[in-house]
Parts: sequence; C-alpha cells; structure tokens
Amino acid sequence: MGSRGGEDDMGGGSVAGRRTAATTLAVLAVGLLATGALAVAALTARERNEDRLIRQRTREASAVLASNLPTVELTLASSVEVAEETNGDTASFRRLMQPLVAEGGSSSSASLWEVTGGRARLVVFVGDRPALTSEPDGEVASYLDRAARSSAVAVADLLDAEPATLGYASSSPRRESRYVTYAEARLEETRSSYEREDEAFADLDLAVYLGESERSDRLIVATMPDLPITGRRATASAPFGDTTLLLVASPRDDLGGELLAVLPWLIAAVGAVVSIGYAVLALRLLRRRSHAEHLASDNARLYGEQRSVAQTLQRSLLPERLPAVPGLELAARYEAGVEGLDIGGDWYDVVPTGETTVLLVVGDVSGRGLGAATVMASLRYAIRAYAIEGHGPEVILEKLGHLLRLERDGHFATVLCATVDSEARTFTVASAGHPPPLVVEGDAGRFLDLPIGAPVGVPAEGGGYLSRSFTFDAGTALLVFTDGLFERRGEVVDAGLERLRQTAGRHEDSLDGLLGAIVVRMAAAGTRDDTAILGVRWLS
Amino acid sequence: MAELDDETWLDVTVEPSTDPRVIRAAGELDASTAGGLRDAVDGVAAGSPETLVFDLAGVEFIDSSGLAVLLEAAARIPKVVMRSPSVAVLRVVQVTGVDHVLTSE
Repeated sequence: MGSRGGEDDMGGGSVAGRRTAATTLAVLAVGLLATGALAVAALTARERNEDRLIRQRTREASAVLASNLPTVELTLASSVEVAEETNGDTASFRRLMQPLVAEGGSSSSASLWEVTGGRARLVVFVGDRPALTSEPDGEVASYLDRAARSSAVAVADLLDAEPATLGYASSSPRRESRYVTYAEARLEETRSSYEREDEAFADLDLAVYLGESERSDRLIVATMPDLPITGRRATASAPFGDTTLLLVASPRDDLGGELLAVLPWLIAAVGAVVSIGYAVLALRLLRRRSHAEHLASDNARLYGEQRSVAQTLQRSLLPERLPAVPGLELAARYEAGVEGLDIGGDWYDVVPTGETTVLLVVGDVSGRGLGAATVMASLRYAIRAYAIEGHGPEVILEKLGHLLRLERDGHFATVLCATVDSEARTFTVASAGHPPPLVVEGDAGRFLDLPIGAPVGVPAEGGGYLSRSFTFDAGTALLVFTDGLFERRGEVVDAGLERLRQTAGRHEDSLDGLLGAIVVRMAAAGTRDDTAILGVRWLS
Repeated sequence: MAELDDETWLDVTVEPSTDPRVIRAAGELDASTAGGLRDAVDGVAAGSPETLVFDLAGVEFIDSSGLAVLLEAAARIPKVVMRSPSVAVLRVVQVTGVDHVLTSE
C-alpha cells in the first residue's frame, strides 16, 4: 500500500515548502558569506605577509649586492695611491693588478690612466685591452675626468659593448690627483639566466639593472630569462659607486610557506562544506517539523485511503458477480467492519459444479491483514479447484487441512461448504468450525443442526469432517455467513445467533432485499468485524 | 458503535513458578490484545512445560485471533487446558469445533 516517504510530501508550491526553502537558503547564504569573509581575510593576511616578506628579502638581497662592490673598490683605491706615489710606475701597477685579472679574478682588464687637463692617456694595462678604448675619445676623457674628481668609484656603462662590460674607475681622494685606475668586468653572456652558486636567495627570482630604471638594455644579471619580472615583486636600490643598481625580486614560491598559501582555500572548502551541512540540517529539521504538521492532516486522508485500499483488495478477492443458475436465486453481501483499516479474512464464493449444482462457500480466516488475506485467497482458489474436480463438501474441507497449519502459518480458518442442487432442492453441507446455516422458511428462521468439525489449520478429531444433506421446499432460503454478522462483545455467542434468527424471520420480497435488511438490522446492534453473507433460494 | 471509543483491554498474568504453569487472562481477547497473550505463551513455552493452564474466568469476549493464540499454544505444548472459562469463551470454543483441542479442567 502507498506508504509515502516523509520528505517527499513537501509540495514545492506550498507555503510551508517555500518557507522551508527560504530558510534553508538563508542558512546556506549566511554560512557561505561567513566562509567567504574568512577566506578573504586569510587571503588578505597572506597577501600582506607575502608582500612584507618579498620587500624584506629584496632589501636583504640589495644589501648583499652593495657589499660586493668594495672588493674592487679597495683594490683600485690602493693601486691608484701607488701610482700617485710612483708617478705611474708601470711595473708596480702590473704587479699589483695582476691577481685581479688572473684566471678566477673578478676583472678582465685593469689599466692605469693619466688624466690631465681634461684629457686621458692610457699608461699601462694588464689583462685584455680595455673595452673603454673602443669608445669615442671625448666620452672616455669625460668619464675618466669624472672619475678623477669623484671620491666614489665611477661606473662606466659599457653594457652596449660586445661583450657587455662594466667599468670601474677610481682616483685618489687627493685634490691634485693625476692617475685613475680602471678595471673592467665582463658580464656573463648568459646573464639573463644566471645560475646561482649560493643558496641564500634561492627562494627569489632576481634581476639587477644598472641605474634607476628597469630597462632590458641596462640588465646586469637576472636569474630568469622571462623579463621584466611580473606578479608579486619588490624593488630596491643599492648604491653602486657613483651610480645605483636597481634590484627587482619576486618570490619563486610562497615565502610564507605552504600552509599560509593553502589556508584561504582550506577555509573556503571547509566553510562551504560546513555551510552546506548546516543548510541540509536546517532543511531536514524544517521538513521534519513541516512534515509533522502535515502528518495530522495526512493521517486523516491516509486513513480514508488505506481503508478504501483494504476494501478494494478485499472486494477483489470476492466474486465479481454470482453465477446465474436456473431455478436458484443467489445473493451476497460483504460489509467491512469499523475496524476495516486492515483487510479482513472473510470471504464467500459460489462455484458451479454441475448442470444443476453449485457449491456455496463461506469462510473466515483468523486475524487480519495481508497474511490473513493471502490465506483466504489460497483457500478460496483451492476450494474452487477441489469443487471442479467433483469432490463433496466434507472431502474439500479434509483436503484444505493439508494446506494450512495454525502453528506454521499463524492463521486458522472456519469454512462452510454446501452443495446446492437446484432441481432436487437438496442442500449438502459440511462445516469446519463455522457457524451453522440459517434456514428461512416463510417468516420463520432456524439454524441447521450440523456436526461441527475442527477449523481448517487445527488438527481434526478422529474421523475428520462429516457432511449432512437436507431437502427443502421451493421458496426456502438458506443463509450462510461469517461471525461478524452476529458476534457481539459482552454477550454469549448464542444471544447473537438468536437475534439473527429472529431478524431473518421478517419477510422480504427478494433474497437480496432480505440480506440487505438483515445486515442493517444486525449492524444496529454494533459490529466491529467484517461480515460476509451469502444466500440461496429455490425458486418455485 | 459506542464500543469503538472504548479501549479494548486484556490483563495477562503469568503465575510465577507454578506447576503446571498458569497464564491468567482477563478482559477482551481479540485481534488488538492477542499479541500480549501470545508473548506470555512464548515466554512459558520457552521452558518446555508439560502442561499449560489458561485461566480464562475473566475473559468476557474472544474472537478468532484470540482463539488462534490458545490453539497455537495447544499445538506447541503437550497439554493445554482452560480453567473455569466463561460461558462466552466456552461457547465460542464449542461453536468453532475446537473443544477437542481446548478442553476444560
């Protein structure tokens, strides 16, 4: 039967359904908003942290960069002092500067220049010939003059030369200096993908430019070819002789570590899951409440539905119509009792067995529900089969005993079978624990006196079932029925049978009318049980 | 129909450690109350007694469901007898043709 899933009951269009949906969405929205805010906060904190870290690392790198210059500066400064003292002694200069340009030295060339009156003259050089000499004389003189006047190292920008070169010139801080020492360092050919030897700044991508601007033609060295550096980056300037170096740095990975990097996403993921969880929880709680509200009204409707389902099933197990038998009037009624929520086990049947004979059956399976109905159906069809095989009532009941066992099946059944001959007007009946048939002759009723065998499903005593035959006059009616018709609480069964006997005595024109009148009158005394009643009358 | 509003009731008492075992019932023994009596029978039958006595003096009404419990007990326990059954019970037992199974003490 249609047991309905609780949450399916929520009509989407109902007011309660809309309220539930709105509240659920609100819970979800609040959860997701909170999650979003947290995630953004974490992301912002991480961004700030990363920004702070990259700035800090860049400053550290630029400090290291700036501290590399004094090595050259110191050598140049000491050699120019020697030159001043020795009036440009070339041998002293060579001896002093040789290590600088030797294999593994920092410079490719070192030279001594005499600068007087704005003109420069190359005195001597060690290593390669200075690239500076390829520059126009005016520019060379101007540069060296600047170097002579400056107390700091003058940096020569020979980045456009081939190979790209940086020059450093130093003079004595004395007011009247004549000499300038000059050293050149060639830049690596692969300067845009410089492979670092030290690991101190391995977590950074670095690019160093000469001057203040990040121009590719001013690049001195970079750890990555893909320039300019984009994304999260920081810049720092470092003093470099009389000019500056621009350092651009970018983190290779997250400086703050893995956890800080994934934290915002972690928060977002967990928050989303938790939000959805709360939304689902809210939905369930609301639906449950709503369901409970619905239940009351549903129950009333379901009761009606289920009752009608039980009755429909019950009636489907009963004959749709009774057979037409010449010379006989047949009628039947089935009344569901007030306990009719569950299907009952009452049934009746009329089975044609010969030219002039039919088998009347009425039975009552103990208990209620689908189990009782199943037993009822199997007994009903078994009886039809036995009847068509030509067995008499007592044999049919005997055979039914093999089909049902109370201790195994949990049900027993009272059954009454009677063969009715329309011509001979005989009534041959056997009872398995069933109430006796009621004979209505004129306006008098009486019960047939029968041997009562054990119900089907209960072990019979001794020799089994006995049938007894009766012969009646035309116009006599016989009624067979289940105990729901007469059984009442608070009284002995005989009282109900007696009331039935008296009620049936009142005459009605048709057999169907008689049955209807009996049911109505007996129901007035109150019944809880289902009732089946079947009648037969010999026509005159 | 007035009965519909009344709760059907049945008191079931298993007398402790008697020999033979005795189950006393009082009230209405129908589909709605038979389960309580069946539970009591199950409990007693678990001890495999030779005899079970149903004291049914207080049972005012019995229907086929109630009868089924008594008959099932009779099928499981060698000897089942009724003690002072009310006329209401006795007549149903007789009319239903089970008086050979459910005898009185």
